[in-house]
Amino acid sequence: MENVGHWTQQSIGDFVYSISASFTAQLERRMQQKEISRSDLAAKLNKTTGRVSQVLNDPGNLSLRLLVEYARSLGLKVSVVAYDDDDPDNTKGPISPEVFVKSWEKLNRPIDLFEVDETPLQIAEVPTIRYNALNIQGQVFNRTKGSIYVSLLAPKKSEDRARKQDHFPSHDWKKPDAQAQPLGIPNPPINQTAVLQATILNKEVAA
Amino acid sequence: MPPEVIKFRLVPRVRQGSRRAVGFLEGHQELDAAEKFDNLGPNCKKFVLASMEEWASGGKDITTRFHGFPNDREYQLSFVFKAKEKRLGHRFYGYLYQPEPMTNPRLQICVLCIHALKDEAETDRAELKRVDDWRKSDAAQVAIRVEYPDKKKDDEKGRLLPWKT
Repeated sequence: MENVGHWTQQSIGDFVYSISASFTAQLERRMQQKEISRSDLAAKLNKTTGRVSQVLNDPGNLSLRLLVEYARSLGLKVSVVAYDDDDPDNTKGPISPEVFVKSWEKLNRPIDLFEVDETPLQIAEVPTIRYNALNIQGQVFNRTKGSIYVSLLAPKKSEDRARKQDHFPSHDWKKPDAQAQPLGIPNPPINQTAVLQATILNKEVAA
Repeated sequence: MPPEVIKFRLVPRVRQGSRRAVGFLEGHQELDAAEKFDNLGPNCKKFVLASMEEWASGGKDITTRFHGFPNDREYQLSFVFKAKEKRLGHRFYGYLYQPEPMTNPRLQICVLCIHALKDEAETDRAELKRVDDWRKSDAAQVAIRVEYPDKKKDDEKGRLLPWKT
C-alpha cells in the first residue's frame, strides 16, 4: 500500500466506512451529552444492545434508512450533503460532518437559502476592523452582541510593529477593563496570531 | 547490534487537522502502538483511522472512541484511542504534545506510544505511567523535533520581539 493520498482514496467501501464512522461519532457524542446508554438506545429502537453496539463499534455499511432511524431516535435529523472541496481525486479524504454542522450553527441555523443570504456577517468579508483609530488586519472568527473576536495578525513591517505597540502596550493587554482583552496568547510572537475581543460599532467595520 | 533509534512519524494517509495531528513514536520494544496498529484487522483499522481524523479535525472527546485524562493530576497529558475487534478492546495510549511552541503554538499532536488489550473499562495506570515516562524522555523530544523543528524564519532570528520590550 502506498503511503500517499488518503486511506479512502482507492475504494468506495473505505469512503463509506469513513463517513459511517463520522456519522456514528455524532450519535455517540449526542448519547454522551444526553447520558443515553447503548441499552437505552437499543430499547428506543426496539433492537438488542448487541446489535446497537455492533453498529457503533464497526459502522461498516449503514443504509440511509438505518442512519435516519438511529438519528431520529436521538432527536436528531439527517441531511445528506454533497460538496466540492477542490479535491476531485479524494487525496485528502472526506470533511467531518461536524464542520458542516458548526458552520450552519454559526450562521444562526438558517432554514433556507434566503436566511443564509441575509446573515449580517459573512466571516470572510470582514478582513479588517477599526480599533482605537487603527486598522487591524485579522480574521473575524466569532461575533456576539457588541463584541467581535478577531484572530489578529502580527504586523510584518518594523514601523508597523512599533505603531501597533503604541496601541497595544503589554499592560493594556492584561487590563480586565480594557477595551480589548486577550483571550489567548498575552504576548504574541511575530507572525503568530493573538486573539482579541474588541467592542466595536458596526460603522467601524470595514467591508 | 545497532543502538535503537527512536522515531516519530505521522500516521500516513490520514487527514491531519490544521491544529491537530496524530503520529506514532517507535524504535523501542516498548513502543508497540505502530506495529499493533498496522496488524489490526481491516475494519478495526479503519475505525481507528476514522477516530484519529475525528480528533484531528477538532472533535471533542467521545469516551467510547478517544479521550484525554484532563482530570488526572499525574497523567493529565495522556490520551487514548479505543476500538473493539471480536470482543477484544484495543487501546492505543499516547500523550498530547505541543511540538512548535515558538512558531505554531496552537498546534497539538497526539504521540501514540503503546498498545494494550483490555476487557474492562478502567484504564491501567501502569500504562499511563509508561506513556508519561516516554513523554518526559529526551529521545522522544528529539524524535519529534525531526518532524517539527520549530525554527523561526531567518529574518526573525535574534530579533527582540516588540511585544516583549
